[in-house]
Amino acid sequence: MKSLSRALLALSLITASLSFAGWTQQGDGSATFDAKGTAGIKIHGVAKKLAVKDDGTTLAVTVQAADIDTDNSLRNKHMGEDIGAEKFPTLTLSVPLAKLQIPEEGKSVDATAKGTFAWHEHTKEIDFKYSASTKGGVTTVSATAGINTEDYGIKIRSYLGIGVKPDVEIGANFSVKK
Amino acid sequence: MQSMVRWFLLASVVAAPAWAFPWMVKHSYGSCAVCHVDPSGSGQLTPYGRAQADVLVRFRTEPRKDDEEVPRSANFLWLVELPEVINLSGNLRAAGLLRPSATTAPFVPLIMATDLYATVNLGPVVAHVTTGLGYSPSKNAAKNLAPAAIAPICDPAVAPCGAQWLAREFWVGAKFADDAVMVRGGRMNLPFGLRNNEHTSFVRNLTRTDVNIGQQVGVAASYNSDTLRGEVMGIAGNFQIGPDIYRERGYSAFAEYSLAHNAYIGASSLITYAGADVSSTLPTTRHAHGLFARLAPTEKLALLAEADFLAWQSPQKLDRLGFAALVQADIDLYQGIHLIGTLEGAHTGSGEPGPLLGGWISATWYFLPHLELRIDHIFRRNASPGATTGAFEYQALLQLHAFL
Repeated sequence: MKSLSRALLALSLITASLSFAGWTQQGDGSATFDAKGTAGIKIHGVAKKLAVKDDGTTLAVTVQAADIDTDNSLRNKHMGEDIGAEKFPTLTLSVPLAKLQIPEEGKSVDATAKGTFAWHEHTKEIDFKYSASTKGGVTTVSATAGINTEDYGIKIRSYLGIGVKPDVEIGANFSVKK
Repeated sequence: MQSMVRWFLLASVVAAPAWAFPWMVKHSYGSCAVCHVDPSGSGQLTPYGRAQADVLVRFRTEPRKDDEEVPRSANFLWLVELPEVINLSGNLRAAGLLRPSATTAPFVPLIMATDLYATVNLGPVVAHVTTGLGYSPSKNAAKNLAPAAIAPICDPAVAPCGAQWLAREFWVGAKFADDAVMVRGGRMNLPFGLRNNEHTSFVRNLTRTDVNIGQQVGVAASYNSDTLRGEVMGIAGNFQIGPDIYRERGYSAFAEYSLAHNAYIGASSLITYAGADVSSTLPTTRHAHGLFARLAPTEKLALLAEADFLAWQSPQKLDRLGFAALVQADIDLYQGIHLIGTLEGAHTGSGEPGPLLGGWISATWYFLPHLELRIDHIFRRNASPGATTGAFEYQALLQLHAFL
C-alpha cells in the first residue's frame, strides 16, 4: 500500500511538473493601446515589455501600467493618475489554453477567443482577435481587443477641453515556446 | 506671365507668419484641430496646444520630470491665465534675408508678422480674428501684403504702400458632434494640402493656399475624427483686393485619411474663377488637384510630401498645365532642435526653360517658451519665361519668432 501511495505521489509530481513546463516567453514582447477623443485626437501608447505565464491551464499576459508610454510625459503623468497606476499596477488578460488554436510548425492561424481582462478591482470577460504563427518551434502571437475603461471603474479626465473616449483598443504582441 | 513669376519670386522675400507643425504626426497628432483654433491647422493655439508646445516642442536641457505639470510660462504673455471663454495670443516674427547674388540690397531686414490673435469661445460658437501691421518698403514687396491689407488702400504699382493694417483671418463658426464638425464663415485659410510653415514653397505659392496671404472669404465645413479629417470651403473671394473682377470664386477642399497612428494620406482639390487673374489680368479658371502624405517612421522623424497638378484656363488661350511638388524631412536632433531638409519642384507651363527647383536646409531651435530661432538656406532655380537658362540663387533667412 505504501509503495502504491509513493507511486501515486511520484506520478502526481511528474504530472504537475509537466503542466508547469508549458509555454515560456521568448523576448520582451510589447503591448499597445489606442484611444481617441475630442476633435480627432488619437493617443497611441506602447509598453515595450510584458509577461506571459502559463500555469498549465491558462495563459496570462500581464502588462505593468507604469511601462505604458504615450510619447508625452505630461500625458503619461495624467494617464498614470487616472488609471491609478500605483494602486493598480497591472493589467492582465487570461485565456484558457484549451480555447486557443495553436498553429503547427510552419503554419499560421487567425481566430477569435474569449478571455478575462483584470484591471483595477474588476475582471470582465472580453472577446479578442488574435493571429499566431509558428516557426522554428516559436509561436508568435499578435492579439487585439476592445475594452471600455468605465467597465473597470476608470474615468479619464478632460484636459484643457480635450477629452478621451472610454472605448480603447488594446493589443499584445509576444512570442512563446513550448 | 512674367508678372506672375515675379510675384512668386518676390513672395520669397517675406516669410512665414504661421506656427504650423504638420510634423506633429511624430507625436501621433494627426488632427490639427486638437491644438489649433483653425480646425485644419496653423496659427493660434488652443490652450491644449499651448500645453503641448511646452511639453513636446520647446527645448529643454533636462528631460521633463515625471510629476511636472505645464508651467505658467506656457500661458498668454508667458504668465496670464485666461478664462476659458477668451483665447488671446500673438505672432511676432522678424528676420534678416541675405541674398549674396543680389545686385541691390543683398541684405534685407524684415518685419514679417506682427499679428495679434483673439478667439472667443461661447459654448459651441467660436469667433476668431487676427490683426496686425505690415510694412512694404518697396513698390514690389507691397504686393505681398495687399491681399491681407485693410488700410491704407494703395496701389503698389504706383508707390510704396508703407505701413498697412492687416487682417488675415476673421471668422465665426460653430462646433458640433464632440467638436468633430465645425461650420464657419468669414475670412480664413484655404483648406488645401499640407499646411506647412514654408509659405513661399512652390506648392503653397502656385496653389495660392499659403497662410501668409492666401486667405479668402467663404463658408467652410470641417470634420476631424481619429481616422479622417478634411474641410471643404466655398470661396466668395478676397474682399481686401478690388475691384470685384479680381476676386476668385470657387471651392477648395482636402481630405486626409489615417492609415495608422503615424501614417496619413490625403487629397486636395481647388477650382476658382476670376474675371481677371491678379497676375495675368485675363479671365482665368484655376485648377489645383493633388495628393499629400505625412509619415512618421520613428518618433524623431517626420516625412511630408505633396504633389499638385495645376492648370490655368483662359478664353482663346491654350490651357497652361503645370505642377508643384514638395518632399520634406523633419528630424528632431533633440527636443526643441529640428533639422529640416526640403526638396521642391514646379512648372507653370509658361515656356520657362525647365522646371523651377528648390532645396532648403533649415534648422529651428525653440530655445525658450514661446520663442523660436530659425535659419533657412534656400537654393532655388528660378526659371523665368523667355530666359534660355535658369540660374540658381542662394538665400539665407534668419528668423526670430515669438508667439505670445
